[in-house]
Amino acid sequence: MINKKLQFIIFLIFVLSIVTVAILAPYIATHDPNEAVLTEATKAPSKEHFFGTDRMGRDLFSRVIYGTRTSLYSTLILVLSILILGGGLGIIAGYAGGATDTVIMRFADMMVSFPGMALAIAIAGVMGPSITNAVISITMVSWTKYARLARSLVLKIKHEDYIKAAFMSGTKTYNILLRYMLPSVLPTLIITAATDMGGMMLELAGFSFLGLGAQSTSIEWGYMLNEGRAYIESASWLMIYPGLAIFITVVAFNLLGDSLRDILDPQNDDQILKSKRKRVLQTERKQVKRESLA
Amino acid sequence: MRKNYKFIALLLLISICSSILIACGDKKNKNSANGPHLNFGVYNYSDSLDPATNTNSSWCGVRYGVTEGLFKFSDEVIAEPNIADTYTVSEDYKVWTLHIREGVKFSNGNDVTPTAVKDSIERLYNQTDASRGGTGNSNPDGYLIYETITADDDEGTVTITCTSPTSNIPGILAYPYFSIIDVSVADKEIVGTGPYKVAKINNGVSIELLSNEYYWNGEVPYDSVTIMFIDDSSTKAMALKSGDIDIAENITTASDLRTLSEDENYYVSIAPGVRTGNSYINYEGVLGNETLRQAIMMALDKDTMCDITVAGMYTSGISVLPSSLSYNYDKLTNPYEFNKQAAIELLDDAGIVDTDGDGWREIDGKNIDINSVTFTSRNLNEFAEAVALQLAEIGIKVTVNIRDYDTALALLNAGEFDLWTCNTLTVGVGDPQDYLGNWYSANSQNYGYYSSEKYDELYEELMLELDNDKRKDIITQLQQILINDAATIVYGYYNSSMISRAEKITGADIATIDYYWLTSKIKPIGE
Amino acid sequence: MLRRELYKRFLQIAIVLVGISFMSFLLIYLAPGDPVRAMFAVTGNIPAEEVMEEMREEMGLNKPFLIQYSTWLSKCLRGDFGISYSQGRPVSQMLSERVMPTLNLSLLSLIMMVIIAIPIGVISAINKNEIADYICRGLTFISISMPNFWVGLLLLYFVGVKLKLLPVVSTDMGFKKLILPAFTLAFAMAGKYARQVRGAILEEMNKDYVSGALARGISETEVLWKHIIPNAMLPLLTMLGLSLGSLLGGTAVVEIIFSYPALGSLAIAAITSMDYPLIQGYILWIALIYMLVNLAVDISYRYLDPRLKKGA
Repeated sequence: MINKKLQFIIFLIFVLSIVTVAILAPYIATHDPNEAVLTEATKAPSKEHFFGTDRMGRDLFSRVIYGTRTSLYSTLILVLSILILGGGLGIIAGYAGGATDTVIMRFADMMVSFPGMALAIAIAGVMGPSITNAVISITMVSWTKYARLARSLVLKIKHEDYIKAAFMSGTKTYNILLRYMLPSVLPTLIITAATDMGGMMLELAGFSFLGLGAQSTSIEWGYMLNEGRAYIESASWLMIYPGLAIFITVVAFNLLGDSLRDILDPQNDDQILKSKRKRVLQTERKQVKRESLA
Repeated sequence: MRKNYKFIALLLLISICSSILIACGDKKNKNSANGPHLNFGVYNYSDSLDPATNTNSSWCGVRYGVTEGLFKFSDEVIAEPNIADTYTVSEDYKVWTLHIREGVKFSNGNDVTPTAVKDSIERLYNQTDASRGGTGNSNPDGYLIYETITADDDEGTVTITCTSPTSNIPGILAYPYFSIIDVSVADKEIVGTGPYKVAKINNGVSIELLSNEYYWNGEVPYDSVTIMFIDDSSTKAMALKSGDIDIAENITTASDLRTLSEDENYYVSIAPGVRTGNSYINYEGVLGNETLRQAIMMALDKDTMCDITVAGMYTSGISVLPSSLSYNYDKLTNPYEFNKQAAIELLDDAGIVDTDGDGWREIDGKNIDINSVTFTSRNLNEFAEAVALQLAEIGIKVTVNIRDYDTALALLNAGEFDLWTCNTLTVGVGDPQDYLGNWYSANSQNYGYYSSEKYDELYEELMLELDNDKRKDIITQLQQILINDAATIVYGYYNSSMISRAEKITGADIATIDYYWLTSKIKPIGE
Repeated sequence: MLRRELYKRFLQIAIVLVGISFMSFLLIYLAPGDPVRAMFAVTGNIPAEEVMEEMREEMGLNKPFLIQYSTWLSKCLRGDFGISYSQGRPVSQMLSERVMPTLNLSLLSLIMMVIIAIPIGVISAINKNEIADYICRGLTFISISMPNFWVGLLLLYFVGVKLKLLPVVSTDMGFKKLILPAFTLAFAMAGKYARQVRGAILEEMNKDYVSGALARGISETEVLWKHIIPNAMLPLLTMLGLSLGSLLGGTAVVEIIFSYPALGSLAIAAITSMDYPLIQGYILWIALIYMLVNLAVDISYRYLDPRLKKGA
C-alpha cells in the first residue's frame, strides 16, 4: 500500500500536467484548431493529423488540446459556483436555524424537484445558449446537494462548546461563520467537489447535446463528442479522442479527490491500523488452517 | 428483527416491481394477418392522423397511406386527379366544379359521395376555427378561402366558389389539409380512402395498419403494416440492419446513409426534394452593400458544402427553386462562380479592407461582423458554420447564432440578423408563387427587406397570370433576377431518402415531395 | 403525531408545487418565441404576422401573465391540465400514458444499478487501497466518464445488430424493450453510486463499535454483513431517492436512442415545440412524483432506523 502522501503527490502531478497542457496548448497543438479545410473533412488519423480531422476539416488533435482550456475552465467555474452558492446557503441555513433555515431548505427542495432540463432550455431561450448560461442553469439546480451537506456539517458542530464560547465572548456572527463554520465545512465540500468534476463535465457535454451549452465557435470536448455522434461507425475517432480526454481528466480529478479525502479526514488514520489488523488476522487464520490440514 | 423487516420489505418491493414489469410486457406481437407484413420505421411527427389537428398530423395521414385528397402530386410536383377525376372552372377562375370519381369508398365501406367530400372539407374549417369551438391548429385559411361549397350527389360533383380568383385549386386540394375523411366517424377514428386503414394507434410507439379492402386504385400489396416510431437516425439504421424493420424513411446521419448505400442488401432511393436551403439577407444591415454580397457569393464553395460538409444530404444549386421542378433551371446562369481569389480582389478594389490590422475587413470604419442566425434542422447549422469559416478566409467576420426554431423566427421578425439560414418547402401546393413572394417588396420586410422594381413588376404580373406557360416564363425570369442581384445565398436542395431491404421489398422509391411515403407501389418480393 | 407530520409535509409539497409552477410559467413567459411560430416549423413557410396574431389571440396568449397563470392554476385544481398544442389531446392523458413506462424504466434501472454498484462498492471498501480496490474504482471511473448516449448506441449496436440478442426496436412495451435502456442508465449511475457505497461503508468501518466487535472476537464476515452493511444502508437509501429523482428527469437521451417513449422524450418534444400546457403539466407531475418519492423515503427511514423512532 502506497503512502498516502505519495499517492496525493502522484495524483496532483497528474492533474497539474493536464492543467499544463491547457496552458501550453498553443505550443503542443500542431495546427490552428479553427483552421478549416472543408475538402479535408473526416479524414482518418495520419502523420499529418494525429487524431484525424472533423467534419469541417479541422485537425482533431489540436482541437482536443485546445479543448482542455475550455472544458477545464468551464467545469471549474461550474463547480466553484455550486460550491460557493450551495456551501454559503447551507452554512447560513444551518447556523441561523428557524425560519431562515426552513425557507432556504424549502427553496432547495423546489430547485431539486425542478427538472433541470426545462430550466436550462428556458434560460437558453431567454438569454441565448452558451456555456455561461449552461453553467448558470446547472448551478441553479445542483447547489442543493452542497447546501444540505454544509448544513448538516454545521449542525453537527453548532452546539459544540467552543462555538458557544465564541458566541458568548462576543464574536460577531460573521466571524463565527468565517473562522469556525467554514473551515470545518470546506474540506468535505472540496472533496465532494473534486469528485463531482467528472460528472459536471459530462453534464455540460449533455447540454451541448441539446444545443444549450457550447456553441460551434467554442472548442469544447462535450461539443466535439456530440458532433462525432453521427459518425460513430464511419469516423469513430471523432468520438474516441474527445471521449478519452474527458475520461482521463475525470479519472485524474477523482483520484485526486479521493486521496485528498484520505489525507484530510482524520478518521482514516484508524483505517490503516484496521487493514493491518485484518491482514494479520487473515494470515494467522491461514496458518491455523494449514497446520490443521497437515 | 430489524433485518427481517428490511428483508421482507425488499422482497416485497422486488416482487411488486417484477409483476408490474411482467404484467405490462406480455402483449405478444399480434400479427393476426397471415399475409405479407411490413415493418416501417419512421420519425414520429405526430400521433394523430387527423388533418384538422395540425400540419404534422395532416401530413402523417397521407404519408402512412391512410388518407388521400381530391388531387395528388406527381413526381414533377404537378397536381393530378385522384378522388376527383375531372373538373371544370369558370372563366373568372372563381367557381370550380369537381367531379367525384365513381365507386370510391372509405375504408369502412361507406361511399365517398359529393356530400361526404363537402362534409369533410367543412369539418376541416370548423375544427380549425376557435370561434366555432374548434380545437384544431391546422391552417386551411392560409391556402383557400371559399364563399360556398355545395354538393350535388346526382351529378356527382362538388362546387367550390372561391372568394377571389384562384388558378391552382388542384394544387391546393392536393395539400394534406384537404384530405377527405369520413366525417360520420371522425370523432372516434380517422377513416380515409388510402390503401391502408388504422387498426390501432399505440401513442408514441407505433401504428398498426391493415389493408383497405375497399381501396379504389388497385391491389393493396400488404395485408398489414406496422409503423414503428424511431426518433433517432442511428437507431433507425441499426433497426434496418438487425431486421427489426424492413424499410425506413430519411436516414439523416450521413455515415449511416453512406454505409447503407454501399451495401447491396439495401435499396437506397434518394431524390432531390422540393426544399431549398438558403440564407435570407438583411438588406438593412451591412449586407445591403452590393459588392460585399457579390464577394460573399464568390467565396462560397457550395459543391463541397453539399457533398462533403453535409455529406451529400443536399444537392447543390444556384436558384431558390429546386432543380427538380420544371421551371427551366437549366437555362439559368450564375455570374458568381466559386472563386476565392476573385472575391478577395473584388473587396480590395472596392476599398473594403482591413485597416486596423486585426484581421477583419471594415466598411465605413467599422469592422464587419455578420450576425448569422439559424436553427438545428436539416444540417442548417452546418451550412452556417461552413459559411462562417469560408468567409473568415477572405477576412470577413461572421458570428454564428444557433437557436431553436422559435427564437430564430422571432429574430427574423424583429430584423435582428444579417443572414437567416433556413430550409423551406417551396411548392407546398405545387406552385412556387407563395415562396417567391418572400422577395416581393410588400412581403419582404419579413425576409430581409429586399426590394427590386423589376422583381415587383414581374411578380405582380405573376399574381394575375393564369396561363401556365406564361407563368413558367415569368418564374424563370424572377429566379434569374434573384441570382443576379445576389439577393439570397442558396446552398442546395434537401435530399429525401428511403431505404429498404432489397431482397424483401420492391418499389420503395421516395417521392419528390415528402407527403408520400407508404404507397401501394411498395410491394413484397415473391408473393 | 405521524399524521400531523404527514399533513405538514403535504402542505409543504403543495407550496413547493405552486412555487415551481409559478417559476416555470414565468420563465416560459419570458422566453422569446411562442407555440404559434413553432407550429409552422415543419414546412418552413411562415404565415403572415396577422394570421399568427389571430391564432395567438384565440389561444389566449396575449393576456397578462397573472391572468394566464391563475386560469391555468384553477383548471389544474380541477384536474384539467389543458389541451396540448402539438398533439391536440388532453395533457393529463398524454402524461398518464407515459407514467407507467417511466416508472418501469426508472425502477428497473435502479434495481440494476443497486445490483451492480453494491458489490463493487463493498469489495472496494473492504480491500481499500489494494488491487481489488483499484480495479473497482477503475470500473467506476469508466462508468462515470462515458456519456450515456455513447454507451446506449454501443450497446444497441452490439446486442441488437451484431449479436441479435434483443430487438433494436419493437412495438411490445414489455421487459425485453426495457433491458437495454435500463442497463444504459444503470451503467451510468452505478459508478457514482458504487463510490457512495464505498464511502458509506468506509465510514461505518471506522466506527468504534466495529473495532469493539472485532476485539470481542466476532468474525469479520459477521461484522460486515450483520452490522456494517445494514447500517450503511440508511444514507444509501436517501441517495437512492435522489437517484430516482434524476432518473425521472434525465432519461430523455436514452429514451430517444432506444425508441422507448416515456416522460423524458415527451418533455423535450414539448419544449422544442413550445407546447406550454404540456411543459407545465410535465414540470408539475415530475415535481410531484419526486416529492412523493422523497416522502416515502423519509417515512421508510422512520421504520428502518430505530434511533429516529424513539426520537420522534
